[in-house]
Amino acid sequence: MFKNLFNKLMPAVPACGLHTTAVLSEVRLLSRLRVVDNSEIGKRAMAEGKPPKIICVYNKRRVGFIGDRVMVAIKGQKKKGILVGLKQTQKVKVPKFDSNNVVLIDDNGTPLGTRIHVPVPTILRTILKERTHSKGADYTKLLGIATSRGDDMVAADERRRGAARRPGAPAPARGSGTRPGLRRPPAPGGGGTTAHWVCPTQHYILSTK
Amino acid sequence: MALAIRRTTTDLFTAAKWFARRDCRFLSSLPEKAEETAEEAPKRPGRRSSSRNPALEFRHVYPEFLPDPNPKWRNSLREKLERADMLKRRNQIDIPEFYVGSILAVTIADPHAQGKINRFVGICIERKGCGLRAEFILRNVIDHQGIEVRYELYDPTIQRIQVLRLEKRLDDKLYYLRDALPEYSTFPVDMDPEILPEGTPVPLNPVQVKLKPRPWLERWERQELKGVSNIEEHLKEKDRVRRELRKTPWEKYDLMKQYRKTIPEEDQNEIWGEVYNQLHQLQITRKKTYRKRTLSTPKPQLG
Repeated sequence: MFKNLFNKLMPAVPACGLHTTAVLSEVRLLSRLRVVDNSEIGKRAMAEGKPPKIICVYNKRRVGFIGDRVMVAIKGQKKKGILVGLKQTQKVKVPKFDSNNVVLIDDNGTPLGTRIHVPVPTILRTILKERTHSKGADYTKLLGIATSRGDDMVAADERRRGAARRPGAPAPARGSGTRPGLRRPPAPGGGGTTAHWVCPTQHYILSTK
Repeated sequence: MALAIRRTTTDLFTAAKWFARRDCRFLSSLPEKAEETAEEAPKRPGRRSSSRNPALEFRHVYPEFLPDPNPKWRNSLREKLERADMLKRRNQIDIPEFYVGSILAVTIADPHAQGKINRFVGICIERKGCGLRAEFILRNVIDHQGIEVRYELYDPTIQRIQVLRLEKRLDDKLYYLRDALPEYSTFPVDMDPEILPEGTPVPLNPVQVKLKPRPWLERWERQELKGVSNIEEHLKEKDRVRRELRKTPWEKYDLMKQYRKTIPEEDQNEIWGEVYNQLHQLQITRKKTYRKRTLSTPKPQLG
């Protein structure tokens, strides 16, 4: 009873004497990730409810940021992956995701899947280009398989450029030819009505007409 | 019938009172004044109604022009310079009026994107910061993946800020959308802007979201949220007890606390007097271009 009264009198003092800080949501050793490509192993791991666990982050701080290479334990195997979206608070204009996303790659940087089904931040393009050296692994292959819609993302402008600028026959053929995994073709009806509203600098919207 | 009328009027009253109390940084430190606006609001629900000084109404539309009330961070010269810079930026691009809960489309120059341009559509879940550091967060769910992007309001790389739907929500921060079902934060990327007739007050969207089961990111039950409908379902007896213990019902009577959180009316008068003319001019030019655009829109549709 006395404790109750005390709590009522001083509610601002935390009940336990612990010092607490805001959640950092850092990606580090043993944190769980979400595989967002359609590789067989990744799909099965996510379906079974056993998402991959980080066993190494390849940088000096051992805390993963966008574009960092990680080693994950997935279904009893060791695989490498690239972080393509983080839950942690990001810098201005860099998207923050609701989950920590990873795309599995092999040692040469070739992705194991053929499609990424969520948006990917555009800054990844610059980061991966910087990390790719002519003799080492080529990480930019990962950008080619991002097929998601969403305007702030890498894939969106590519797809729009491929599919929308030429509304006739060649564009869909090119789009579907280069990326067989393209799931949703853009709806031309919706974009057409907005076209006169957007500013002329947004060419990719105008071109959806 | 009479009971229903009384009910609705009391509802209106409470809503208006809550509006007046919503973000105390913008209110004057005088408690009578707050009450006065609360009583006036139901009679004339105009955006620019009430108050002796019309410029004081700008505190809702341009909240970033008011400095942080913390005396440690006040610097009158810096604030003045910042206001001048903000006006200069506002002369360059049109930064529209928007609130937490409005749906925006932001176009930025992005050196990383292939088209060097980047557009994001989402609901504004938070607006904070003063002066040139003012920022807002947009949230959307794209391909079943929740995404949030933080933008600075006076960022020179921003090419365009477009308000697709101007409205307010029941709370002044919508962080609970992160724990809500995804349909509450899903908005189509190719959304059309909705035009409000001139002079209408900003509509209040009374939608109440449903939260996903726990674990949550924050203890929503302790925050007295109005925009959440099913918070009680997920609580245990322990949580209810702790919520009761943590309640601070006396804080609304703490005049000193309120004073420290607000910019007094006299200071506000000075600030708004400095920027009123230019902001008013900008509003007028904006209205003109807006009218022109609404008149010219049917043409491309016909063609």
